Amino acid sequence: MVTEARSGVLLFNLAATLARVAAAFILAMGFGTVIGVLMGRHRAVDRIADTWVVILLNLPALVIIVLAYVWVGLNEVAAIGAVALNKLPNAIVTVREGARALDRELDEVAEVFRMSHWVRLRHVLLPQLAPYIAAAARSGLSLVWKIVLVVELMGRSNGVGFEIGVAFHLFDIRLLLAYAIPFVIVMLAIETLLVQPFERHVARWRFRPA
Amino acid sequence: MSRAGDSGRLEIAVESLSLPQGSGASRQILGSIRFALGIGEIAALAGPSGCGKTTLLRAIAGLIGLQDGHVRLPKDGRLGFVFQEPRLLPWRDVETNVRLAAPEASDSECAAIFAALELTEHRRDFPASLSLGLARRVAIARAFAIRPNILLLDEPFVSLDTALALRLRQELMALIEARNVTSLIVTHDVDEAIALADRVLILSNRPARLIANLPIAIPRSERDAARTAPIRAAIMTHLSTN
Repeated sequence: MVTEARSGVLLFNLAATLARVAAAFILAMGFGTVIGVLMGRHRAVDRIADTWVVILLNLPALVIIVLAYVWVGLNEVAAIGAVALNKLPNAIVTVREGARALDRELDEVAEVFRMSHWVRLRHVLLPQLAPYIAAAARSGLSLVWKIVLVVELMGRSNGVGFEIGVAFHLFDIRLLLAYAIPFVIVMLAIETLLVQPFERHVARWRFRPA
Repeated sequence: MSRAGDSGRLEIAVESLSLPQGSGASRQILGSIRFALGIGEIAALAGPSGCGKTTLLRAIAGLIGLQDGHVRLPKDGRLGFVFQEPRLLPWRDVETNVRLAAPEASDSECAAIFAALELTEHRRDFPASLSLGLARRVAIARAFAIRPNILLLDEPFVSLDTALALRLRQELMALIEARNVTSLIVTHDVDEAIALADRVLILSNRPARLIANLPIAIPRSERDAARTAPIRAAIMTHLSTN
């Protein structure tokens, strides 16, 4: 581990993996939130898209990854796209639940007082969706980083997944742990330093003492 | 009907309104309702519970479309609405709740409204920590902050204790009179209607038709039990013949 760290290879591979995690996560959460809200609020959209969500939800990650590499090529777009696509249905389903639970009474307040779209989005819609988005983010982050490693193992020449593949071929447990342990530490740090404070922030009005 | 400078005049002409019910069939809620309120006039809307008072208010506010009939609001109409439940954004404090509805209100206007409704010390509180009475005041403050010329209030004093309701009523009247706002107040309390209104409108059972339009000519400050007895009797007659 120390050798890998000293040479800078560890940091380089870690950074490559984290960049992929971030890109796929942002893509999946962004599209997932928009599609989830549309499906939750409009029956017609829900009916059309629901079958696809179920298919995507149940399609093995490996199938999506292989298809992406075969169709798009062995490149970064395919890698990140495949990870995002694996996470997407999960985000959609969670956010859709949130959109179904939206408070119609507050909608009417926004309507009567002619609030702008921006105000409605930021102060009426998003605070109601925030707990669902936080839940999707938490389960999504763990899903994304697990799948990123598989994607790297199969079709990339850098990243933690690639190095773990090398370790596997060499039966080098020390190299395997040298990558696995720092990775777990980084993900734990993201969870405690970013995801949990975000959850506390969006729920702060609930615990306000009288 | 439209004259120059008629901001605040409200004309209602409903022939019928039906709403879909759970089974898919639609049911007629409102029948023929026609009335007009002059600038600054305060009307109480009474009728048996469940008759469609709230539906009429929602139709006037444009929350449900009228199939047959129209609501004529002044061209520069700004409509304030106080729902029966306070309906505040739970994740925003009192002042932000008011300001989001009325982004153009100045600091001094907001401060004046908060002072009039005894909300100044609660400006930073979140709705979850407010009593129903306070939350109602915030809803009223929000409606006044947009500088309305028409104000719709759906049972603003219901489920408050008598003393509190009386104080809130006085504060509300002071605001309405100072700003000359045309107001339509839903109530099922006859005393309240007599104390507040220039005119009492009585609806029938469903589908609600307007069965009485009774002006109260006595100045508000002179409305004692003896002088209001005839109007009270008239209101009671109409309410009981439903």
